[in-house]
Amino acid sequence: MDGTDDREPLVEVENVRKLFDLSQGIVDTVLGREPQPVRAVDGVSFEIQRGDTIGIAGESGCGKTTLGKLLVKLYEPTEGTIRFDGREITDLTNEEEREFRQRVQMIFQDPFESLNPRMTVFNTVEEPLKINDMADSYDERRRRVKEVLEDVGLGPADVYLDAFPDELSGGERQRVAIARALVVDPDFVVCDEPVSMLDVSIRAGVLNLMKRLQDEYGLTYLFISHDLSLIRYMCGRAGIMYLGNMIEKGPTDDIITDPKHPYSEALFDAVPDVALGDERRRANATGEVPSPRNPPSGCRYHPRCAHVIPPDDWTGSQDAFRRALQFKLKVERSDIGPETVDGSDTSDPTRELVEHGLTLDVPEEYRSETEMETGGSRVDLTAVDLPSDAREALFDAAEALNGGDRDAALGALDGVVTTVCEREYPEPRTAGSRSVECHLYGDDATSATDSGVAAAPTED
Amino acid sequence: MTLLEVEDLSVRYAVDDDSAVHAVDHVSFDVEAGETYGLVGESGCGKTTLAKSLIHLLDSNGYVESGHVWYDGTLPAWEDDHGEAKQAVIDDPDKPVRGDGKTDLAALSNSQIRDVRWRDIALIPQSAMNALNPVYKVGDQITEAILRHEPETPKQEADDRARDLLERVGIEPERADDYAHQFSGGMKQRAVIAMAMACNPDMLIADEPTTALDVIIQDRILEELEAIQEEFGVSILVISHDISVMAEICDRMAVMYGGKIMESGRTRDIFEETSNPYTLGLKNSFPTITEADQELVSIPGTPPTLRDPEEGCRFRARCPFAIEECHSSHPPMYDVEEAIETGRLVEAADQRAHRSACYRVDELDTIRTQATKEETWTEQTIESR
Repeated sequence: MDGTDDREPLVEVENVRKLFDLSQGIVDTVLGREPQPVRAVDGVSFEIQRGDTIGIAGESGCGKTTLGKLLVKLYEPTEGTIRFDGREITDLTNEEEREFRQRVQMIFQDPFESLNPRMTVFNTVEEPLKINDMADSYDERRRRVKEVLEDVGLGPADVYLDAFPDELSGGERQRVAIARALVVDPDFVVCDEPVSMLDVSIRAGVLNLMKRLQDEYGLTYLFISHDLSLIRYMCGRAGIMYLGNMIEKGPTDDIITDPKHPYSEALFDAVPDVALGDERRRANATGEVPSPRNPPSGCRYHPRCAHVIPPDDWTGSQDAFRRALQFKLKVERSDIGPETVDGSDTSDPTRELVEHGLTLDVPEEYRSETEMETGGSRVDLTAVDLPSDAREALFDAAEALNGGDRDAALGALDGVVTTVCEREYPEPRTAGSRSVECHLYGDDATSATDSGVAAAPTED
Repeated sequence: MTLLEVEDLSVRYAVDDDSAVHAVDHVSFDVEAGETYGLVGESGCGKTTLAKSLIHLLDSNGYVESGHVWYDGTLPAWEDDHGEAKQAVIDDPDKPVRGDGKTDLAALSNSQIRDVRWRDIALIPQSAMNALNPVYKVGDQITEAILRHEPETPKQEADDRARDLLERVGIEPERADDYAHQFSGGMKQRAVIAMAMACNPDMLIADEPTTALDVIIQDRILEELEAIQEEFGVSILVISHDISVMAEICDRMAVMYGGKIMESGRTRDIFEETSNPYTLGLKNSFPTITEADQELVSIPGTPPTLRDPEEGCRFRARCPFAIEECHSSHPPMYDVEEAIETGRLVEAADQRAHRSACYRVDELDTIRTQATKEETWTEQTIESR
């Protein structure tokens, strides 16, 4: 993906954005509200070399399927360029577009939905040949269809030719879908969760088939999956997506054994594994994925990040800064106020609110002792290593909140609890064999000394 | 102490033309108090049917054909002051209560089972994300469950309990006044767990508790289930197709295939001392994140249809180790340790022992070695049988 060799890449994606406008309701129109688009893919760049399998991983809603559909031209990008075999795909002549549609194919997630129930297997697989004028006679098409069906493990083909999809099992249907994609002899196939609807015992068969066909047909794959173990099995290189950004990309084994981006780290910690038993670390991330309609500023991941970077003049610990930032984020989201604490501490309601605001919504192993005792509703202030000015700012903010003045609370925190992660989007930078979009690496990493992710940009 | 004893349970679904789908076929297992028991298997193996049949939640064409579901507890009307079954009830031959006070849930009427649901056994349904009513406040839905099953509770107390429960699963109590659409996916899942705990049941049935969730949220929900179990000492019966999730949370588990339990025992034994060809095949076929350069091998063929199934082992058509005997009848659950130590096939007397339904469990060494080889599982070998 980083163009490590001299071959010309088959697919080049440059700074691609795809925004979806949502139709506006009448109330919004009357009130003159600006439409807020969903930023499904937001500035993604990468390359795919011929013969490679690139994995795209991420949680639901991160934009991976949209990215796949952009590459096969089911969507037009809002911004940026996509080049296939050197030609920009948004700017094709009719003749070139025909060729593109033949050379690029897609396999969809659900073989129960992607096959027409009223077409036989033969009709389904034959159709792309007809559309692309690839075989002159019926006999030739029939010969070609049989050949491909046998290639995808549906042999003897005669048994399957006249079958309808409802007579086939899930694994057989997905093989038909693969045959339909391959019958036109494409160069590039986008596979969107190709086995997630299949039973475990037959998944491996489809995956191995895809690997074998890659050699036989000389294919290049883009393999989209939320399942990181599948990505590891199938893909030499991978990109991890979060809220429309590709936050880390590089060789799959390196990303998995030594994730650089704090989000990748959390993602891999969260995967349960048969082999690890009880010793697995849990994912150190707060909260859930925010809405792509109004993503966080700067690094999209900074509100959840375990290694968020304190300002240069921060004299306390990184953990204390992470907590102070959580306080600020709660104020911004109006998630904190006098009503969110039980008021049991009547002697010092301000302190109670500060201690409540500094809590982290993380697995138990990352919580402090008091958080464990109070079920995560308070953290003992003495256990948080805050600089005195930050401490003052937090108390001022809490007091303002108790007085019902949210703006004053935000004003008190402004300039004290602030981070580069929130202000600037981290442009891609190199970390080891990877490209990472994170301020911890490169020039900005100087202040990240006490963070858990070592700021070691070079190692290979 | 055994909380639930499922004894030789068979569940069928009636189909139009007098035939029946044998969704669960002669299944026996025990769940101990306070443990997590897993039912793992592919889609259509009968795991959800089995769990639903325990508390009479089957679809209208489903019915329990035979067998018992002995539960350590009884109806409120049959209890004495200590919560034990009254002697008069035990002695009454018309009441399905055994000498040790266990009640046969399968023999209860639909109105009787309502006193068991939620109070004794609560269900976290498969699509928990959609289990909340969109037009009621989340807190009110929990309060409603409490009031339905404990009608003597004052409204205010039920409301407070609902808030406590939400807080217990990591949701701020004032969110009780929100509606489901104001909750994120993980919060909905937590709210459903809180709702299941509303009447402090002894057993939770969690059907695919994390399937629709993203991996980081799944991680947190699994942690939450463990914490709840630790705090309330509740038994959890988990149903999932995800073997790695099961490996992580279950103390003991049963691997189901075609309506039968193929192998059961302690989770560790199932993974480290795998003793059934189906489990061995399953282990070969899913990738793990920790291993580089794996070779996956799938099980050839597809799961069987359960409509009036033929005699013989349910797995034989896909099994590379099938022998003549496998065609005659489905094997009983043999004691694995006994087979390894003495080389004899003995039916397991203890449901909790490591059991495997395979006629060749006495040849485990050979089978385990063979199962790791790819050529063992290729289609040709099996078709020739």
